[in-house]
Amino acid sequence: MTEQTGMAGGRPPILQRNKLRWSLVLTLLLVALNLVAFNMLMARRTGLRLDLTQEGLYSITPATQRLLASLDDDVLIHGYFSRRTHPKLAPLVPQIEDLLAEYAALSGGRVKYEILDPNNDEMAEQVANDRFGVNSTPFRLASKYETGIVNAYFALVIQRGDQYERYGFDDLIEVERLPDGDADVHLRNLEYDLTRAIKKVVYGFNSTADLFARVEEPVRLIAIMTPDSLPEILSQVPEALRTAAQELEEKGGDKFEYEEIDPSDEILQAEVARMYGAGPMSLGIFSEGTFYLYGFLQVGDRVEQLNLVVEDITSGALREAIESALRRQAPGFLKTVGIVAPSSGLPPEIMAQLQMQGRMPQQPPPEFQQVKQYLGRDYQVTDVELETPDGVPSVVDVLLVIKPKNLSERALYNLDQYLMRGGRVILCASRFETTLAGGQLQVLPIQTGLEDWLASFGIDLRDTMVLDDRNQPLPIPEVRRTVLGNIRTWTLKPYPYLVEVRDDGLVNPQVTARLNAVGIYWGSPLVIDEEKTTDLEVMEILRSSQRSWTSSNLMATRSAEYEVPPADETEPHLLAVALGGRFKSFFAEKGAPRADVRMPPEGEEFVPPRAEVPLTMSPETRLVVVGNAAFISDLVGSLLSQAGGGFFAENLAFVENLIDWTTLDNDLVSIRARGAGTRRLERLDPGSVMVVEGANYVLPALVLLALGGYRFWKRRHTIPVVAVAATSRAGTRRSRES
Amino acid sequence: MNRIRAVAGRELRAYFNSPIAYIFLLAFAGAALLMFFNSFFSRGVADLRGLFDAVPLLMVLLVPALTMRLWAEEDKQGTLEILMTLPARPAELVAGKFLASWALLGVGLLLTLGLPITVASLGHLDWGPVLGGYLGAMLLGGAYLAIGQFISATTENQILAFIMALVICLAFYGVGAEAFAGLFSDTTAAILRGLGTASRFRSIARGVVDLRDLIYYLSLTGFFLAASVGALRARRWA
Repeated sequence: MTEQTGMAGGRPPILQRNKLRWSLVLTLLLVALNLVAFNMLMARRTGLRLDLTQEGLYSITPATQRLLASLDDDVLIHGYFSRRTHPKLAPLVPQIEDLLAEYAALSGGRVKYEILDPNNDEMAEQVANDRFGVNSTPFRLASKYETGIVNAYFALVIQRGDQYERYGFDDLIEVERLPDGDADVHLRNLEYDLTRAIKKVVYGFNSTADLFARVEEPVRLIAIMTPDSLPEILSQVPEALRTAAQELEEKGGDKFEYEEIDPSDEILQAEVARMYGAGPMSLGIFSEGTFYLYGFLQVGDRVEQLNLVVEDITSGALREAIESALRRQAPGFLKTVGIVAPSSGLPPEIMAQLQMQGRMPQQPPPEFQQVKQYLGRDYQVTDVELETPDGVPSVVDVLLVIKPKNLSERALYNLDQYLMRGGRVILCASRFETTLAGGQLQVLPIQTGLEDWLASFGIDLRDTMVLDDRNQPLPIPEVRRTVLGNIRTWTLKPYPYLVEVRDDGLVNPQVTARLNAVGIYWGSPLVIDEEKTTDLEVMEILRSSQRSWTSSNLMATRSAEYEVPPADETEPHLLAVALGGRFKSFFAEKGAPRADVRMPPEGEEFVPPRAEVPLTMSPETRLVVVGNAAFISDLVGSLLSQAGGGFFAENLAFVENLIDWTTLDNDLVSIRARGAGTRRLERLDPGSVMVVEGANYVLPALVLLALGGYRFWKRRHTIPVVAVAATSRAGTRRSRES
Repeated sequence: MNRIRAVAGRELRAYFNSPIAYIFLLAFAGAALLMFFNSFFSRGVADLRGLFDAVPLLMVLLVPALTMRLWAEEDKQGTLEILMTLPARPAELVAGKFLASWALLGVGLLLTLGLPITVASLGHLDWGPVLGGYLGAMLLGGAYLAIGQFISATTENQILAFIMALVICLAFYGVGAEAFAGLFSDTTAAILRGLGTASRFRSIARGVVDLRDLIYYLSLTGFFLAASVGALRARRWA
């Protein structure tokens, strides 16, 4: 404010007063205009801000920064947002734009973005529709001028060359229902979505030459073999291996090295046994002779074993296996997750037969569809069949086995050999299964077929269930009679079989990183045999709480009433564990199970089953066991979400974290599952709720009372107010004089 | 500075020697707590959302009640003349009164501090948004107090001062709210959102202190305090 002159002494005359008033209004107007202009100028300056949140929710994580800094190619991001859109979506667009601007800045210009409105831009609409398959979404819109449906675009496309990833509006946002019936709409986890998409388009599909460019360390292929003493059926393996190595050498250049070791003397034999765990293989039960046939791929200090003991192996198949192994070692490549899950209902051939007979049998819904879809957003997901003579395909980086049930010897052998090759295995196995038969919850005991196999590594999967006082409520349907008729509602009852693992129960922060809780439902406890695991590293992941116990009483699962046993009978139980190191094959001594001899159809030549020699020792790898499968079951997930409970989203994120952790790719673990939605409260009983709420009202009231009391007391014990006013005025005068 | 402090001290004493401060604090803390617990246990999320969702509207309703008497009361009691003859300049008087009312608002917010402590004991509370929420509440409250003081300085009628302040605060609150801004499309909505106090507050309350939001609140507060000074001077000429 400018100092007005001529106003100190008395009232100015009327004319001058009006003039002064006008100049005052004018000054204020100018100040206002300047402030508005300054604010508008500053509105363009993004990035000058302080993120106070604990996890840096609104800041870009180091993982994304690293990815953006390492981009070699241009990535284009097209944002398709209609200007006329749903009022809840409109405020999200500037947020997206801000983040895109930050991405562009951090990538040093590699990331370019454009925001288009296809409703007003025909070219853009055509590209969006035809090229990227982006379509508008109809929204109900009520505004001052109209009510109706508007077709609005709300989509992001991340493109590199001819690869692209598309996010529609339901991929990007999350809707939270508020108690007052309104809904809160916010972005789900935009940074995660963007980073994941960039990763996918940049690293997803590369040629072999690219592959070598990505791998920073030298690659060595080591063959330990005795070509002269190989059994007849494997005699062409060395040649195939050499051919494959030659092809790779052409592409990899200096980075690729091929080495052949023929351990004919004892010193060399001891050396390969020490370095690679490679021992002599037997020619057969009736033969004294032995041979060596091992392949190891070494990238930096990580080693992976190739299964060479396969009849009729071609150089092409070998090269593919080596490339898959390489891809696994290169950072950032799109991983292939093989999923072994129970197939739903009837086998397809029986289905077809029944259908031909004109019957339409009811197929039970698939039980683990959501986990597949969820993982499909980040990985190449393939269904793997364990009951085949061919074993697990070599492209599979991680094998996720869900709810194994009565696995055959053959399936077990394939699983074992996959692990021996250095594959990473995640087992979600329980000794119980949950079904909803006719709306009735049923828990039944099952055999996984894996019990002995796991026991050989020192993991005992007990046939009991873990119960915990720290649990999630079970929604129980209830019909309430009211004057208006019967109303179906849900009541929530604490149910000890729905174990809520949180806080100190999340033992391994590398896996559970940003997760707040994981739910384990009707899970089985795991017990580690310390003697058998001396050579392996045991890494605990999930544990139940201190007030937890076990039971195998199936009848008790039908009731939500429970009593916690006395304190000396409760203890934390292990619910998920990982073993790391070099595993010894379950089939090392017993040999491969005999393949079924199938008689050929009439007129075809009889093909004898292939000879198989099991790999006996694995290179460095990881095996994860979760004593539960129901926690990622669609059925259980939808049941628990009835009343807004359940940790289905967290559980899926947990599985994804496990996959990244076992493959040592922790980048996305640090971004995934960020957000306030997961900070859940400890469950309280109604009594405690009353106490907590009451205390919060009483305390401020007491403070106020004390404050008022103090003021009242002080006023009664000091000089009257008039005198105070008089002295304070005297005080001001003094201060002016001084 | 000394004179500002003296004015602020006198105002604060006046607040606490009358029932005004207690009624204000009781209404503010009580309403805030009620609205917080309304949804807290049913949502089951460890944050202070219920509180900070309620704060902007609470401020709109209660701040005008606090500011309506700031100058109008002096007028009624005839103390305005005395104040004006004091050696303190109008700017110092305005600043002193502003600081006193701001401090009272701060005490009101302090009374809700039991909530974050409760939440932190029941789950993992992220203190960042809590800090942001309280900072935002102080900034928002400051802006409303400045608006209220300006209105109070322009009229002798307390009721009028209350209603006018309520309307203007409500306008600033509502202009950026989705229910209103959403009615407009295109860039208008974006501008309205930028003008609204509530939308800015929400941005700070999620735990992000953006320089742009700080500048916005400081401009708003500064402008209305300057306008109050101007209004006082204009009164002197009357």
